[in-house]
Amino acid sequence: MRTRTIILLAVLAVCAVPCFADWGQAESLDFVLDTTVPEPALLGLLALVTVVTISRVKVQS
Amino acid sequence: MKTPSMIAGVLSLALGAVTSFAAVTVTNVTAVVSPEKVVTISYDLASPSALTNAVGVSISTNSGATFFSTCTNFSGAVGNNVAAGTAKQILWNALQDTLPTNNYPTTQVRVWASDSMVLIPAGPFQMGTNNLRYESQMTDAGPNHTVDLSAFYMDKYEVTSQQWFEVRNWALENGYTFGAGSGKAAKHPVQTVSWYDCVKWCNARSEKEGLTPCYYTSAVQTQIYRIDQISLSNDCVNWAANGYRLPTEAEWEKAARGGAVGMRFPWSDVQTISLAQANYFGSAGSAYDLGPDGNNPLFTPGGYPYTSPVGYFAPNGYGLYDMAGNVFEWCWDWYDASYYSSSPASNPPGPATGTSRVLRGGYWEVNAPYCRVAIRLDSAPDVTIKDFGFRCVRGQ
Repeated sequence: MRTRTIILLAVLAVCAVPCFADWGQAESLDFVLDTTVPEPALLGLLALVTVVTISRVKVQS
Repeated sequence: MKTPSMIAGVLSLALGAVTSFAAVTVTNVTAVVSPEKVVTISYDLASPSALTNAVGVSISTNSGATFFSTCTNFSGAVGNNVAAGTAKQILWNALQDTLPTNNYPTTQVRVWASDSMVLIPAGPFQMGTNNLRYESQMTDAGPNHTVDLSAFYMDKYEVTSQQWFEVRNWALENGYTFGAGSGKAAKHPVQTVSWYDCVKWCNARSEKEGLTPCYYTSAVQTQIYRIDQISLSNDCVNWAANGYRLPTEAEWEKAARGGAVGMRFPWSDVQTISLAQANYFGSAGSAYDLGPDGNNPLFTPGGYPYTSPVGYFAPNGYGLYDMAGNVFEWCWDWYDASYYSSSPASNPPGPATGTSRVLRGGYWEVNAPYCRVAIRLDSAPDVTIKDFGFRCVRGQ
């Protein structure tokens, strides 16, 4: 009788779970987001400007 | 022999219940940053709604101690109508977002999903109307003005009687006090609820689900609002909390318009209303009311109230049901007839003081004019009549 009551209570508890489970959420682990590092395209542009500047300096000298 | 078979039978029923009301779960959230600072967020989503889930993302830069929702440059499996499945992907363009330039070594992303709420996107909308003469009974609904709102989630349906009593019963055992509330049936909207009880119910729903409540008894925000009828100010609200709250009047109107511009009702195809579109009292007195006259006979059996089951009619452009008719919905704001002339352009929280609170949307016993998206009504916050119900919103 006692076992039956415990099982019934467990079943009722399981049935109650879906009542408040219409949403869910989860998080990622920590990761590094460094927005101070320039983008590759910006780095490329920087390199191009440097090369052009150096070549012009060489031509002038 | 009798006992094992009975237990097996009950277990089968329980498993059946679990299967048919399976939970929404988000798992396996990962984030990978590209050299271009585009973050690829992957996750698995299980939901009883195969196709109509709302998914949002919050960001933390302190190992998950706090999350914020000001970043909006997401694309992919995010927003409304996301299908359940594995390896869903969201792209977050972090450099294009509002995050201040910095090195964040402990960034986390939180993926949140719901099949009972929809995402109302961030951005401006036109609130109110300038047609005050043509649109009778709306002298307080002008001037038409631009309001910019952050993104938020809103319940697809008005809070049902079943939801009301589930949360209320939990709350009564956890230090809350409430009035009764009532409803015609489990899936009909709750009614006869005061503004105070709706606010406390939002807090109870938040606490029951392990979320941070939004409403506090004072501006210090140390004591969660759980008992009595307290006249809360805008400072008593933790607007950044992830718990449930009432919509502001501006949030309600933007949501009701469903993304349409210049429309009279929550739908975008016609400027008329009929008993096939909403639960209200038809009357040929308004040119835009196609009726027929009277209540919808489908909802009168069983006597008062003549509410309809939530979600009976077609949803609006944002997937929200019953934004016109069924029950009036309490909003957070104090009511001020001239508020539109001085309200802030961004996330207006409503007037600082007042004597009554805003109600929107119409109900089953009023005519079509009261179901218009721009019309404003108000009531003392302690009033509990058959007209009044509500729905909740959450920040991202």
